[in-house]
Amino acid sequence: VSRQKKRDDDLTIDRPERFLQHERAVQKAGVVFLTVFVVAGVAGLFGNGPLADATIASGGTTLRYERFTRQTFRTELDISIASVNAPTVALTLPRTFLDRIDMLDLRPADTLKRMDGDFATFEVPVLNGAASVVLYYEPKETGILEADVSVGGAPPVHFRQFVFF
Amino acid sequence: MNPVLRAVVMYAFLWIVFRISGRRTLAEITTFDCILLLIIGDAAQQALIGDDFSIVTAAMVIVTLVLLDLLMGRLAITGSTMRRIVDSAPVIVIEKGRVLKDVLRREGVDLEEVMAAAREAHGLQSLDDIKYAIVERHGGISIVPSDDAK
Repeated sequence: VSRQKKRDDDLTIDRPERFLQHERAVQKAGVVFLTVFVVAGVAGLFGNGPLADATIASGGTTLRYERFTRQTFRTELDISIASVNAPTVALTLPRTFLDRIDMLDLRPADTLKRMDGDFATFEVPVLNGAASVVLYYEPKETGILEADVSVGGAPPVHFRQFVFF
Repeated sequence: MNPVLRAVVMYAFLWIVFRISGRRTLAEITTFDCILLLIIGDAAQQALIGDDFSIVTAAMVIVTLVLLDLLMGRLAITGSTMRRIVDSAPVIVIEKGRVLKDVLRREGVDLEEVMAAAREAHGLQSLDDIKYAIVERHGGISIVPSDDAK
């Protein structure tokens, strides 16, 4: 930083040319950063956009959720189960997941049947060979929120989302 | 997040955004700037206190913001470098009647604004009457009249 001080007749003023050059460079970089921040936000990097939408399909189970979301922001986990030959299908979610969210709504309602130790079991009605349950919730904590969703005897489907503050 | 931490994060974020956007952004408040300020204030308020409307939280946030502002003020007077980092530095845009066009453009100021400041402050009518025009740290424009104009 230039410490040059120039006295022009009656005007004494600090003229830190190098500092001002650096400041302009930082401001330009900052404007680029802020633009990228906004574009990333529109694209869904912080949730609620195309970059955030995620789908995992394994066997007959499909999970739709947001891979990026925000704390205290309403999000949803949509679980669809295909090719079921029974009036209901049971699915489990780990209690550790449920402890880290505020459940706002569950559709269809009354599908949460019991909490067995480390797991919550849902019994979902089957209609035309398919079942679907949607959890609406707000994450309570920032960081990675993940869970294994188990449907019947099929291998669990793992999903993970990042929760911004 | 703790309200004190929220206040620190929001203060730092707003400081960075306004430092990046340059000193002229809100130096002269137009009607639209006023609306923009209200919207920014409202968005920041929600991030600061979330859904906790208690008096204690409001008090913690206010005290934190005031203390941070005092701290920034203290930092600014610790030395010229710190002062420049916190508040930038004044920039001469007219020097002895000569318009420094590149500097004007970089500072986001047009000659009309400088002339308006010259008229308002000193009743000056032409460029020749201006010895120096300076965009100050706060974004305002100072005018030093030429010797003939005094």
